Amino acid sequence: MEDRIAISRIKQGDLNGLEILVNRYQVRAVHAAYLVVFDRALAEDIVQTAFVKVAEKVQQFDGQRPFAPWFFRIVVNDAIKAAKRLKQSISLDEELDGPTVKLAAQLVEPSLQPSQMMEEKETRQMILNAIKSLTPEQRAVVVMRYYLDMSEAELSMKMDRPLSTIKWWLREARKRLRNLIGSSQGFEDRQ
Amino acid sequence: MENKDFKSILQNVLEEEIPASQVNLWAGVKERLVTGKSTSPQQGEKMNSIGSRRLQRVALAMLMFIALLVAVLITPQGRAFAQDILKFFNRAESNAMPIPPEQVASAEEAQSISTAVPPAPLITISDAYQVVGFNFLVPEVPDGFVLLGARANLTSISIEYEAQGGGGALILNESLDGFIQSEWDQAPVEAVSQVKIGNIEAEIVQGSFVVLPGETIARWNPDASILRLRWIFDGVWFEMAKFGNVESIEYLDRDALLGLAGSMMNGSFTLDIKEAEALAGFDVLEPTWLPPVLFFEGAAFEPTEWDSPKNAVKISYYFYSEKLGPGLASNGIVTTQQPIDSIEDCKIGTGCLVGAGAEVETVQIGAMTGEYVIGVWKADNAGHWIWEHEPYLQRVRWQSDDMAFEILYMGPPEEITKTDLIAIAESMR
Repeated sequence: MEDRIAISRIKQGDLNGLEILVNRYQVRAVHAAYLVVFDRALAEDIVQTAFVKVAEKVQQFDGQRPFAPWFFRIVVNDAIKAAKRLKQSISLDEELDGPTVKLAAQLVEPSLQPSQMMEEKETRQMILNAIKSLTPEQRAVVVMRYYLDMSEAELSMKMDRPLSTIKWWLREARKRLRNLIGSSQGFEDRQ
Repeated sequence: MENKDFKSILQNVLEEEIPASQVNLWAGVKERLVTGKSTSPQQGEKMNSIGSRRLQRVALAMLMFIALLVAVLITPQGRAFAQDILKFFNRAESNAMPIPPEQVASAEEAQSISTAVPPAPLITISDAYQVVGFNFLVPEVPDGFVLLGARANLTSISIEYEAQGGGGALILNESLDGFIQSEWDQAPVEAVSQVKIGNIEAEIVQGSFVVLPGETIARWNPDASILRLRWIFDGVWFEMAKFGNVESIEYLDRDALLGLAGSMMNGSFTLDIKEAEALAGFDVLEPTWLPPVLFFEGAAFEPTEWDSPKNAVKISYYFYSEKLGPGLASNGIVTTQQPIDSIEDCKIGTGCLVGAGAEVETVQIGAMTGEYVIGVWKADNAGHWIWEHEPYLQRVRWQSDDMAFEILYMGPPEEITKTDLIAIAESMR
């Protein structure tokens, strides 16, 4: 069933329409929220709440418009708010492990090849730590830019921010990751 | 690292952290809908605590509401209060306000402070994101100002701009705690104007209570160069206050301040064409032909952003194709039109400027000559702006009489071509 038919059903009070959307988008939404809040239970809570909002606000939704971008916008915005409440980020003063720093280097210097990275298992934690080191907005932008494949222009529209703000956030994210590399250089030297 | 490599790694990481097979939210969603609960009690301690906090807030709000209702229904004062409750500025009873002599000195200092300023040092906006516990908004630096930084705590932020060369300031306060309603923040009824920021109710006040040397009465001075705009949105209390009126910021009058607030609040396309025309004061041209994959989203009026059109109307048409699915919905075209006296006044994009490396092609749009270009300004790691050939971003610009136009297309180049953009342009009338 297409999204718009599902939406139409929800508008008529048929919860089966919502169930279809939940089954279709829940995994991607939970993953995206998780990358912002780094708490599985909270990510699932955010996405559940977002689906409830969908049901409650469906009458405001233009059924001719695509559902997914509208929905992911709700999820990411709520995830940002939740992450800010958690105040969850790695301080620049905190020493990071070598792999995390190398990943940060890759985010900053795209010319580096993935093959230069370390073992996959290490990569997993390191990539999460690297993202976790960003502010909630920077995480959201990085997630949407690199995970949801949105362009900077799309981010600008999706996050209701001028393009220049998105560029600034991405620049700040890169700068922060660069700072992490700088602080870790000293760490590595001490090994 | 290519985006697709990074995405692939992310997908693997996420599948490892939260296997798709373990994600099953429907039961919880259904339960919440049926029971009306905002959180699901089965999903762990953290969610329970969040739900508990929400319930506490709801309970507190209900108690406050009931208490308020009782006050309103029972007492004349309450009924008077009810009339004020939706007002953003407290109304002074008179244009003069007696103050004890010993307070005169501090009162003079207080005149320059509008409302809640968190008692915190000045920090960067970037650092403020680590401090503030809600999703605050940051406007572009308005013309004539430099950004000083922010003072922030968990529930409030004050973003400060100084007029270039001094002599003025702009302070944006955003707070979850409401406005500080000191006697100095009051304004006489006649000084308060009801305005709208898009569809958001707001109030604006020009002037301030001032105390002349030796006097013990503060008198309302409607000409004092303090302009304050207040509104509430999404649970956040906003105040934008301009102080001083030196030449570089003289343009920021009441309408421009409303425009600045609007540009901050109205980043998306929420207006219909008639609303946009009313704000802009000119007739907005719409395309009468569009490729079948484009759909009207809405219009926006952008009066004052430093790198965007001035007094311009933008209309967004989002992209949707059955073939490509919903993933490209935030692609689309944005038409911009801006009244200009000459092409030098054009503020579309970055002053209508493209990079030296841009391949600008002259195109014919009916009887008019326009230009077509592919690419965009992008910031490099060092913060320098570099013109990049980006096939996903195509533009056509032209001038007709006293109006500059742009059509910007963001999306797959094979779906909407240069020919399509020109056809859209020709249909704008």
